[in-house]
Amino acid sequence: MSILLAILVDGVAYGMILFLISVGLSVTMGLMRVINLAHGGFALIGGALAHLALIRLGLPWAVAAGLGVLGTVAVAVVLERAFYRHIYGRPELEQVLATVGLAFLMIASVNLALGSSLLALPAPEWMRGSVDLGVRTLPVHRVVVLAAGAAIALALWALVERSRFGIRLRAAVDDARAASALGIDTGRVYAAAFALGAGLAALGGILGAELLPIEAYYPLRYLVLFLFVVAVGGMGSIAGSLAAALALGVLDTAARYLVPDFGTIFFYLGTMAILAVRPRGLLGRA
Amino acid sequence: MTGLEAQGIVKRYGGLTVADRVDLALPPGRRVALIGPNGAGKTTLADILTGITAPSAGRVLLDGADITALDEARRVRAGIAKTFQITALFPGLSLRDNLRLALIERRRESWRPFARVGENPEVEAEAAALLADFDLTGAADRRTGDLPYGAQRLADIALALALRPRVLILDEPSAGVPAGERARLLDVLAALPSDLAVLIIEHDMDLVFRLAERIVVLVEGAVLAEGPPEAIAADARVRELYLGARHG
Amino acid sequence: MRLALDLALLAGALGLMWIVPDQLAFLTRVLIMILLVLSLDLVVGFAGIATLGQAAMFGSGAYAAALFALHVSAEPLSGLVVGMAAAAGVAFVSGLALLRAKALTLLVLTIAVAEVLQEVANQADTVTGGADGLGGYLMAPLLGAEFDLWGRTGYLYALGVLALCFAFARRLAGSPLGLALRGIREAPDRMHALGTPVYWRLVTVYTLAGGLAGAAGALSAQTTELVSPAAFDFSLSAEALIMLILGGTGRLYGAILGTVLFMAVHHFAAAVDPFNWLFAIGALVLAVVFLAPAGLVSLADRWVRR
Repeated sequence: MSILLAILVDGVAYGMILFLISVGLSVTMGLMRVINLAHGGFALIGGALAHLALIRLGLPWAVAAGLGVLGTVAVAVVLERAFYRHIYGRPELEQVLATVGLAFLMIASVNLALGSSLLALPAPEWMRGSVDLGVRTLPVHRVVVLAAGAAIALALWALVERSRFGIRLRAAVDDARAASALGIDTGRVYAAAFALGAGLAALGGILGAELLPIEAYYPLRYLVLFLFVVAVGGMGSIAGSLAAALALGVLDTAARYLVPDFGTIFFYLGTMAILAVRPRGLLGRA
Repeated sequence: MTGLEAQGIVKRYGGLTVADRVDLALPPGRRVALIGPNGAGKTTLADILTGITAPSAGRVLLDGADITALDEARRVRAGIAKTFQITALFPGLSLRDNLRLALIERRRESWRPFARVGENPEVEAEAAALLADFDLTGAADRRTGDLPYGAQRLADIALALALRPRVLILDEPSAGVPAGERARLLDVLAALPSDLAVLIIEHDMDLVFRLAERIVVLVEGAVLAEGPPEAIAADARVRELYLGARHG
Repeated sequence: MRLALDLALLAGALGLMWIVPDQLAFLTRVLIMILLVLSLDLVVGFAGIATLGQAAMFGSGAYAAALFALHVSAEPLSGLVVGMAAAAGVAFVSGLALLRAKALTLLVLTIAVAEVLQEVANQADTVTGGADGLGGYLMAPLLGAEFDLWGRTGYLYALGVLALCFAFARRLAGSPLGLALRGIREAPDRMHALGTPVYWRLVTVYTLAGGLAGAAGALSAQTTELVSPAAFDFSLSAEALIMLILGGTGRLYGAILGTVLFMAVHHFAAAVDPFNWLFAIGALVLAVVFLAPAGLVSLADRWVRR
């Protein structure tokens, strides 16, 4: 019983991290039709900035995390203007090459500035304890991750379904040309969605540093994981990303707990099974 | 019966019925036009005939054999070719390579890894003959993506004929063809092989009445009227529902 | 013209044996990588199959050749054939499952196949040596020539296999099947309407190209006398794809040009600054994207035409 609960808690927490990092990738791939293999770089940049603020400047954890996210958003806005805008609409293979080149430069930059070793992001004192939920005690860190993930999923849902920005975003996803004909500034919608996705990736990188440690090669080391979440969820679907991230998080955690010898094999076989049944992902549009 | 035949075709999407017990006969050498307002189910019916869409009920027969279960590629090999409403060629390949591709597929040569494209005299001669027939010899070595639209439409028909089909389905052949190039298209359509069964889906009534020996009027998924052009032109329901809007 | 270019390339490759005799191990790796990238060109460049999993076939060929050398015979040519057959078999079986998928799903599935094989290589340690890999086998002489300490035999062996595979790939590209594949890449729906069983064409080229990737893997296992689960690495598949796009897809020569340039820049930049060489690679990649988006071969085209 307790092992099932542990799998569930750790798996869902891991899934929330994957969701935070991957949701922006899913939206960029579904909205701008850009294959962004450098997306993990935003989690890296967020983690690296937070590491600097926390360890070198000695700022409190929450402030460091906030600076990491804001700094990443700033970087993302600049990159969207200076770089991504020039590859929208290009053939897929050129996008692959361009974004891999960008990922190389991100890795090289972090490597130059901070070296290739692990960038520590120790959780603050208050997150390291346990909290008693009556039936069981849970690590505070897991509770924070679960709460943050759930809150952000809800906020995203509200943003997309209920706000003016959400209407524009959905219109642009459905048909970019029709949306611009209606007077929607799709360029600004793209930029805002891109920056938001990058900020969430940074948050996921910082919160998930315990599970996916921050180091220079992060963008390419975990790229496969993020692509899997997007494919299984269905490109462009926020709810799909959440479902896929939770499913893959629990699947991977369960495999590690129950059949540690077979490492990640069940994770990949599970992914293949899901995609065999639903080639466009769990909530992909037909 | 020989030729292509559809019997009692029904197609439903959820609660929506887009084909409702449609019968259609297309004997060898006949020109049949399928007309009807937008949304009447013409393209769905064509897709069911070519094997892109499976019907909910009913059968498709070719020369009396049931081909309902065959996929698109197999039906093409059985002799059913089509042209596309929106021109679909291989834009990055030369016109000659487009034709070679069709000829190679018809001759089942594409599994031969050690043959060389361009070295089979029969293929080359047939490609040259098709180019000459369609007056496209001068454009043979240009990428089809760079050809004018009218020439692309002709090339689409040439590609279909390269398959030597027994049945040809033309999905709106005149769509998007500029007025200046229409005469040539009409000549080409009028000169199609006489033993070929042709189904023309078309909005242009002028073209339909010039080419078709028989007209089927489809409205809301069902056959409203069927007969020779004079009878269709005289049919009160057709005039009211469809032709009335155009010919006043 | 093309024959002259091919002979010049071959002569240049032979000449390198005298110009840089101490670099033959590196040059052999380059040749093997060219072969892997060439196999990828058939899949991506000609047929338009999006894949980030070509290492699945490379690794299968490498393990099959190593196991064959350990347990059956150390004769290299039969080991090469075994490696190619094993890789073609893996490509055929996985291709049957993969090639109905498209776009991102296809990409992800190709990655998954390579990762699963890597896990198997990691876990089945009684057969594969686990994470340590397989070693301890010595190749028998190749047609009477010992594999020497300098790597001359290995280099010539790799060069010969690459030349044959290149000739095969070119023959395939100019064949009716090659034209059918270009048609599938351009407009798969139109190919259906020509009566082509598109799926089976894709399975065919995936299998043939898998055999070439397996030859690359077998050469690697035989010339280094070592194979590890890294042969299935995602990064190998990804780097091969980058090299191919750098050089230019669908042209065969692009595989040579892209691989040589990528590996040369990597080699020299890492020698100059072992910590920051990735800047050079990143800059190279971005320069090509924005200055020669159709790949380096397209620059050569322009130069020839002038």
